[in-house]
Amino acid sequence: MKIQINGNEVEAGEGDTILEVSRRNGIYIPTLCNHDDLSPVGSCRVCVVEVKNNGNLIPACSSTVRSLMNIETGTPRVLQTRRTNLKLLLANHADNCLVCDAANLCELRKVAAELGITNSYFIKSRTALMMDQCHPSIQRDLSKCILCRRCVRACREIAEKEVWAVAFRGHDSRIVLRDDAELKMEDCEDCTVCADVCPVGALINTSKGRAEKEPCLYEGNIT
Amino acid sequence: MILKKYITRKTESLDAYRALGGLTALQKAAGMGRKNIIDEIKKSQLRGRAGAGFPTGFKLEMAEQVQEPEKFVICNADEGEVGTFKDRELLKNCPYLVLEGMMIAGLAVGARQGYMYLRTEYSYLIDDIRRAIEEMEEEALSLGKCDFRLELFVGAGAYICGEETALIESIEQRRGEPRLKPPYPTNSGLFGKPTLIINVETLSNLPWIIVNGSEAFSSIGTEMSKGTKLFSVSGDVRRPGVYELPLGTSLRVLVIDKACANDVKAVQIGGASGRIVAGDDLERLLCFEDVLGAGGVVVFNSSRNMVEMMRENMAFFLHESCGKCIPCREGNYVINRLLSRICDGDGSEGDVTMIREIAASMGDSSLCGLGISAPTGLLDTLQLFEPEFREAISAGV
Repeated sequence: MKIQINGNEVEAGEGDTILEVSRRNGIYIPTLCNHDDLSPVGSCRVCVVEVKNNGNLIPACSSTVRSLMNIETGTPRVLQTRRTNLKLLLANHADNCLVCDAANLCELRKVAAELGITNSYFIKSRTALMMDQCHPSIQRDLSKCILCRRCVRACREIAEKEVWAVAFRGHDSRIVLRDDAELKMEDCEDCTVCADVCPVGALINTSKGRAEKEPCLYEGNIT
Repeated sequence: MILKKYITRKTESLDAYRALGGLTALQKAAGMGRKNIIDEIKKSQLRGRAGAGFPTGFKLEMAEQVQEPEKFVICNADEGEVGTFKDRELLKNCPYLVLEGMMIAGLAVGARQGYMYLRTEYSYLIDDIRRAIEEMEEEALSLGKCDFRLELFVGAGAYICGEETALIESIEQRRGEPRLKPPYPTNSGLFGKPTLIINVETLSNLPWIIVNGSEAFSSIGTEMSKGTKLFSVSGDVRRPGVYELPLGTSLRVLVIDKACANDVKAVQIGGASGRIVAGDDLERLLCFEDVLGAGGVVVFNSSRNMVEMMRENMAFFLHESCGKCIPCREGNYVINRLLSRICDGDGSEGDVTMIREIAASMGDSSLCGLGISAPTGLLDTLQLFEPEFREAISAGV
């Protein structure tokens, strides 16, 4: 089928998401909760795009294309919404990048840099939360968690276990183990798939040195 | 009037319901065939009564067209919107009517199983509804053509579970959070099956349409809004309660003539997520073209401070946001902090700018209707009562 992205006609297949088609055509859309190996959840609202005659903005990661869809990925409205959402997220994120293990691997920082946000001027809403270092290879710092649920999905879809879950409601939501306890070896051994997909420093795989990870920041795709 | 006789007096038994003309619609529908029922409802131009106003006939058609042996009908009785209690009156006084509507919807789409999702605050109605379900199931079986099983499911008190996909998650015993759409429930809903989710009041209109015909129904109301609507009026009025009015009636008739308000500063229409109308603008029409929502109408008199009211209003959304998407989870929190600051006299002009920025993003990019509609009343208040905000910024509330 044919669709239009930013005024250019492109070819798309049945069932493709807007994100997939855009990437194939070299159009960059920032993403945060989305991960190529995991099912979409559409919670971060950073990849929103404008579809002509569609009312609200829609997330590119989880919206499939329809024939003759007319998509705009860079209008002021889209960019402003992405920035606002990211600033809201930054307001609820620990401000200790300088001492964070994920510092230069942090996808949140990468997207913030791409959108030109250095600091959120919204009221800081993050309160210090539990730092959990009980597990030998996974270090957990909930004050950095952005609730993208990659860990929940990775645990269920890749490791086929249900270690993580979302608990509490609204702004108090947190990723927890069954009884909100600390992560121990009995709960989960060493797959660390959750830490590998964490976009920020909330889950750190301590058994892996920094050198083994690919830095995602300053990769050259910052526009 | 279509529903008035059912809400003014309690229908004690199935026989009493029959005396009111009940069950004739079900009997008629059983002989009509799927296509004719749907055509009749489409022609009536009935639209959903829970606020969004989706054409009910199209919804039925979408669910009917899916080829799948198992389908579900869900009655959304999770009436959580602030100041809205019209569904309660129907469920309390005449659950038979709602159940008959469910059975007609079931016949129309070919569903054999129905769920009623009742909000936990209405738990005191459980016994009555269970008894009505038993009687209606038996009655439907004796009609021969209508083998329809009904189940009552009681929620756990979350506002978000009134959102149709969150409601489905809740019945499936998961965390009540909205799903991504598409797929829409009419294609893949409860347990992955085509599911029809309809509000209590919408369902209650179906028997009347089947008996009296679509033309009689569409002769009431305005061009885009046919039929009547139940309004629940509360707040600073002398006669709060549920009133049925034809769609397109002016706000003045409801608030001044029916509910006897004598001092109206502002009216919120459609609960916490509804529009705010100023007291000098009561000629606005209650219909989908103008203002409507789910039918909850709250009146504020001149003793109310609108900035303070909005702080309460937004505190509700902070409490009820599920926390899945960023704009709603974080936006409600920051807006609440900013409003508290303004009410305490510590605000600044910049705070209002920030509120506008966040509200725009929430309204444009939230995952579900909760986040999208949460800032509606606040934005209206900012426009209509700007001097009050300025006053609060300089001196507090």
